[in-house]
Amino acid sequence: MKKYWVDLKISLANNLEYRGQLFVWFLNEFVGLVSTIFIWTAIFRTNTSVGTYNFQSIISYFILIPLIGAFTGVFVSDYFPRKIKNGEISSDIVKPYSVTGLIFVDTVSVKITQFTIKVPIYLVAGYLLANYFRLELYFTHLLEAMFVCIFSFLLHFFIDLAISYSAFWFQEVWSLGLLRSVIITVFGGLAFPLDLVPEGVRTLFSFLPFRFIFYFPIKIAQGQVPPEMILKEFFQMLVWIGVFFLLCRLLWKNGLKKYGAYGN
Amino acid sequence: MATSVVRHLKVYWKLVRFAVSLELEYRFAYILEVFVELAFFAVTLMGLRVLFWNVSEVAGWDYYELMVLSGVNMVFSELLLGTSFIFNLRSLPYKIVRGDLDIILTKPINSQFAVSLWRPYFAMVPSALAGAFIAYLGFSKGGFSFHLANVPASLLIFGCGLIMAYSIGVIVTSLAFWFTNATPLPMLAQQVLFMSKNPAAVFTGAWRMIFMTILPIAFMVSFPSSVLLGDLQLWWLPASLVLAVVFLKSSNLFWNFALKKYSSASS
Amino acid sequence: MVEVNNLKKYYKVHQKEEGVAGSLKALFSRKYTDVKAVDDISFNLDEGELVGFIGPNGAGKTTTLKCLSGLLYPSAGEVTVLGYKPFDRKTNFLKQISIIMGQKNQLWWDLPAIETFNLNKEIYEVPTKQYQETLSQLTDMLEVKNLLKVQVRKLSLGERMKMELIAGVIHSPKVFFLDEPTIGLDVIMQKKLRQFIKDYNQKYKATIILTSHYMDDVKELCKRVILIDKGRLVFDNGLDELIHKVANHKLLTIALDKPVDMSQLEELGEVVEYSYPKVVLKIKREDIIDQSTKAIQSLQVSDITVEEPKIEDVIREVFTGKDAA
Repeated sequence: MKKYWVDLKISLANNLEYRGQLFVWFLNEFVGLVSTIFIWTAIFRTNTSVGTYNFQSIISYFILIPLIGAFTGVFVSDYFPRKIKNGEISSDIVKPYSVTGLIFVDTVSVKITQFTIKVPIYLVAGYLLANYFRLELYFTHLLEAMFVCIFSFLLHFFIDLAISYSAFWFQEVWSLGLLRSVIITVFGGLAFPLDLVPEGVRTLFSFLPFRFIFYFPIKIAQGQVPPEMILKEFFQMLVWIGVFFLLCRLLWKNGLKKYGAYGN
Repeated sequence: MATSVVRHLKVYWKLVRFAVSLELEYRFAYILEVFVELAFFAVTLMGLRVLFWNVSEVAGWDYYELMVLSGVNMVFSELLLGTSFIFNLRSLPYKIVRGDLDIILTKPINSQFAVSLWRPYFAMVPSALAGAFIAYLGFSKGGFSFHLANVPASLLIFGCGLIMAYSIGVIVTSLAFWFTNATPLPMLAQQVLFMSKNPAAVFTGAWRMIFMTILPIAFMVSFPSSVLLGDLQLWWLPASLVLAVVFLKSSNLFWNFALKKYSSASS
Repeated sequence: MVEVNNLKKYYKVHQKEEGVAGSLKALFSRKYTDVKAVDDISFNLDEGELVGFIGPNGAGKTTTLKCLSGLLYPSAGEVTVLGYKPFDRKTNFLKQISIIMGQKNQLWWDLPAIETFNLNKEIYEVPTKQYQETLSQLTDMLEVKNLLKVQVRKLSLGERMKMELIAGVIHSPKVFFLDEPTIGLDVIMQKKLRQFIKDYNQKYKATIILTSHYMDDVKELCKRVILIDKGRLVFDNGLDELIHKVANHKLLTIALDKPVDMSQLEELGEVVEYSYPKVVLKIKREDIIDQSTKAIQSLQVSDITVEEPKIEDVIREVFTGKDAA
């Protein structure tokens, strides 16, 4: 256990080095948000409502995206597949702790670094923007959303891990990672709120686990999900987490066999 | 001066052929790249579709006009990313940190050219064609009348817009000489430049001024699309030429300034 | 050809403290210290000279080279190469120089080496006839004619280094800088490269500056050596003088099985260290084989190693004028 703690501390120290990097990332998100606000302002100049959204609710939806993203974003598939491809995990496998556990700890450490810098900025910026646009956001809803986000993060983590583990069989995993981005952008509620689509498409979305990564927590933060619904969806999310967790274990076990077969 | 330009063109031609050989070498990766580009394009179009399930116009543009805009935007972003960002500007921060610029700087070749245009990304070709196709689709389905005379005007503004965008990309990426470890700087430049995907009419007041001068994104996608759709304002033509020259020269000045800083402060 | 007067190069480095607390602190304020990479160096080189810059790591060799090639802007002093100020980076200047760094490559990884040569031909505007002749001569000298069409990534490290050399001199530079060219190569490859550099210098009369921290590189190639330590020029003279003065010995390290008398060891050579079971002897280069054999025959030995005197020791000797090894 102590091993994990030391690793976390080292990861943290490394991450704090990149102050310039963090600043630029933040600027990046901000510019994206500004662009979105421009578009929707223009849309609402000639429309009073878009689907069930008015100007305030659509803006608050997009403003919440970076905040939720800070919780749920994972980047394992950005680096881990390469380690498998290059045979770099050989030294990790023989060590007396779980590689999955190590990846998890590394991911969490990055998250925590991002929190300490990003979340306060997002909260402050969000508060200012909420005042400026007169948005209806309540702190209790935000707290509920953040709690759910922990599980959204877990779900996203295992999905991304499963993709990473496919590197044991599949050469160009980076393309899968990008495909994951595309899928989550569309089906996760990142490109547009999922309730803007017609009924039939919405049923399709309800069979997929991706809405839990952005759409679900954002709607909770907006206070637009009735309590019974929250519970129902939450349990579904737990099931999906279980599914992907098991998938990861399966892929890891079988992947290692294949990996060893190549004399790594 | 002229011989230098010719020499650089010859070198560029060689580089283009290198890029092609490399893409052919890694054929599978190339196909996947194209696939991913097209997938993201599809997402954009999906977003447009979803929006228009709920509204009928945006800032005076209807569905088909926006489709043309999306198509032109795809061509624009693919050409911009493909010639300068993907293999070149994006890796500049890494090159600076690892000292890989030395090899480039000791060669008798324009350093800005070597750093920003070295390797073209060929997945941009099919993707750009897809964009052109969507633009064509929007045009024909929307029943707009086509005037051949509009094409050269549109191309001129578009070309100048590309040069402006490239110059801005170089300037922003050059900041990496000061912010070591700021590897996402090129992505920031991209993010800002991609605001050009909005019709110019979206921006009002002071913003409109800014986006036609200091950060002339209006010239990159919106104005060329408008011209194709039959709306040409003559002042766009000289304005885009002037802006292109100004921005290109500025990028060169800034780049040299940043380089000087790099060689003074490192070892 | 090359004139360096009072060259100085200083730069600032920031200090970071340990651990998480240190990183947090660094987010808000940073302490900078001045590093004197090059601290007043002067020397002149004529056409066709093959000079070795030697010194320990961090001595300022690479920094000096970078000032000479226009990569760095001097903090003070004057540098003139081929009549140009390197830092102006004029096209005509750059067309006549080359810098080859042992650990950095310019060859395109996935393409055959000849493609990179062709590219350089265009960049340097080498006339076709000259290019073909030079290419032919170089590939003969390095024995790589049959490897030209092979992808660089498929070549061995030694073959790659040869190709790097060709890429670096295909435009027949009048002055070129070799920074640690033999690093990481096996002994045979090192010898081959040295031979090439020597032949090239004789044939093309190019002025060559070689930096290395291998004594053997310098021994075989340079008639003149410039010793740099801590940013200062410590020795600038013929190699013969240096060797005669300083590095004419090797070190023999023995691990004894049984203790012996000092007198027995002194018969073999100068005793530098004797703390049983370890013995270090200083023996003249020409005697090393004989004495090593004698040692094995007359003593009970479990291990024996022959080493070069370290560059640091050699430099210290030159600097203090004393025998330090």
